[in-house]
Amino acid sequence: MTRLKHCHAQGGGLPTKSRRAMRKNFTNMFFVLPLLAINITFFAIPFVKSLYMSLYNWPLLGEKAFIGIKNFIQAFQDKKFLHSLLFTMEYALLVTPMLFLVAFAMAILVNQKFKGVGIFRTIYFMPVVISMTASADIWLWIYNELYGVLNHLLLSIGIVDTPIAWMHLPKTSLPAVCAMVTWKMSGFSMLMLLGAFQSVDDEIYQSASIDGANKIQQFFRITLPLIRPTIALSMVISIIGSVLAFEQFKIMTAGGPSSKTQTAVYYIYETSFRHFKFGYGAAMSMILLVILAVLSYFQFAVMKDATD
Amino acid sequence: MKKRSKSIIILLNIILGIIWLMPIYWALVTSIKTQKELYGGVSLFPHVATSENYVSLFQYKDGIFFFYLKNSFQICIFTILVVTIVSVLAGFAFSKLKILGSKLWTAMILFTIMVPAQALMVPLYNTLSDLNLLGTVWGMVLIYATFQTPFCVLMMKSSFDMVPDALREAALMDGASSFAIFRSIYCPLALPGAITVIVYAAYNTWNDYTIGLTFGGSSMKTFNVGLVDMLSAETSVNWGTLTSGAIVGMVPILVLFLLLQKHFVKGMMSGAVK
Repeated sequence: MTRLKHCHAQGGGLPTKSRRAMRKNFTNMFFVLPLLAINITFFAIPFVKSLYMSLYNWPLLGEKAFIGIKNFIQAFQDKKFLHSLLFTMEYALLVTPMLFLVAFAMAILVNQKFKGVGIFRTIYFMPVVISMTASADIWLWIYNELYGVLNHLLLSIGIVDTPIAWMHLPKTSLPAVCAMVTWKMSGFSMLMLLGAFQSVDDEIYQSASIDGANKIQQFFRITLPLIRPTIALSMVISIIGSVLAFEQFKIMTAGGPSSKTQTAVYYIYETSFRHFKFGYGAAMSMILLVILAVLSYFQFAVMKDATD
Repeated sequence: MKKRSKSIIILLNIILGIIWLMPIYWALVTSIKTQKELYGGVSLFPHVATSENYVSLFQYKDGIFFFYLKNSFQICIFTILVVTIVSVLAGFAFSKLKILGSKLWTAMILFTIMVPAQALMVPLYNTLSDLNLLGTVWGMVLIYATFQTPFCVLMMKSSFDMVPDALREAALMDGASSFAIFRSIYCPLALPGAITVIVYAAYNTWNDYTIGLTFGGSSMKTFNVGLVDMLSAETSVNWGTLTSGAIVGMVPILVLFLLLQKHFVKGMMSGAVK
């Protein structure tokens, strides 16, 4: 009993007790110490450092020179960087609706009660589980100009007369990458939407059908308005993911032809780790972070909507 | 009418399901076809199944893929260990103990979740180089841990939150120490949360490409980075070998997924929504 009292003493009047409480608080800190050590060393300090580096001309070797906001001015005049931002936007605006429409259709298809529906949910989710590297590898083979199964199919049906070099034409490479990403990521949005579908109370549907609303009316008048926040959330998540796109283009198009399919992260990567302009790379990363902050703000706004 | 619409739904599911499985199936059959068949036209089933592509994958550059696989497994296992230990400890502390400045740390965790690793590559490269950790197991493990632990700590905190305080008070009454209570009462009860954390860490580490590419160098090159290297040298490697690489890369994570589907989905969904 006395032990219990001691343990619960929080900064009481007697000096021995408060010291004991302090010591306890100190031991408690050991639980969070590993987290703090990692977070401060590899997140907080680098984060501050990136602000600092963005104000310098910072090569891999040799003199670093303070240049103020010149890196930022350069970024907004850098045609390649601006193009990469535009291309990233183009990609986001193409892949997000593609992915959403497929995911939405999938969610409807698996929001049914029949034997084995779980198998289809698993199948649709499977590509989400495998790596972007493996997916890109597989799809590069499908898109292969001479031996790829896609060209074979199109040729035999007669849609095209000559094989298409999917990855080498700016017109085809973006949609082709989008198709791969749609295949890979739809299962993810599908699960979000499925969760939303199933969170709609059955009683609402029952009373609606008593009032004479048919299935299609119920869908547009009840389901859609109720799951709108989840729709918005899934789209914002997909846009944020697309803004960070790098791997799919690095692996599938290598940014080509002639840097036409270079995303923002890709350009920052090349600047920093191929040309070793760390200061400039850090400055462009900061610009990217600002864009992401705006998008995250939207995410929180729609998330609040979705959880209300 | 009702029965018919149900059959249509099932039929559409079957069609879409086949389309969705097709790329994986196609990679699998390609990887067991002979080179002659591979380039001799399209066939849905291999005439003769061969393991020659897998053999040539592991003979590529004197068996360099053994080295890549070893690196990837090593990094993955250490990352899982670090992430699990760190997030179980911190999750417990944030849920059940009085921590100095806990509000500040929680804000820091939330902020870390919002900043993706892609935006901090430059300073991280600098930090790792200052600490002599570029191209080392621990350099990679610590970077992965940095960006995985914030979510995992929140995950563990919420699973510890579900354990009633009465249990802890009863144990305190019996004179058990913080660590003893933690080990014998909380750990078993928070196990499902910990499994989700393990699966989340395994998924993110095994499937990563960008961090491995940037910080692994050639001494800690991961399987995915090695596979892309080989893909870029496409003309000298045949597609049977290239697809066998994709299959080898996806098997471990697919097996984990099929075994622990619920944890997998939970970790991934709440990990992205945050």
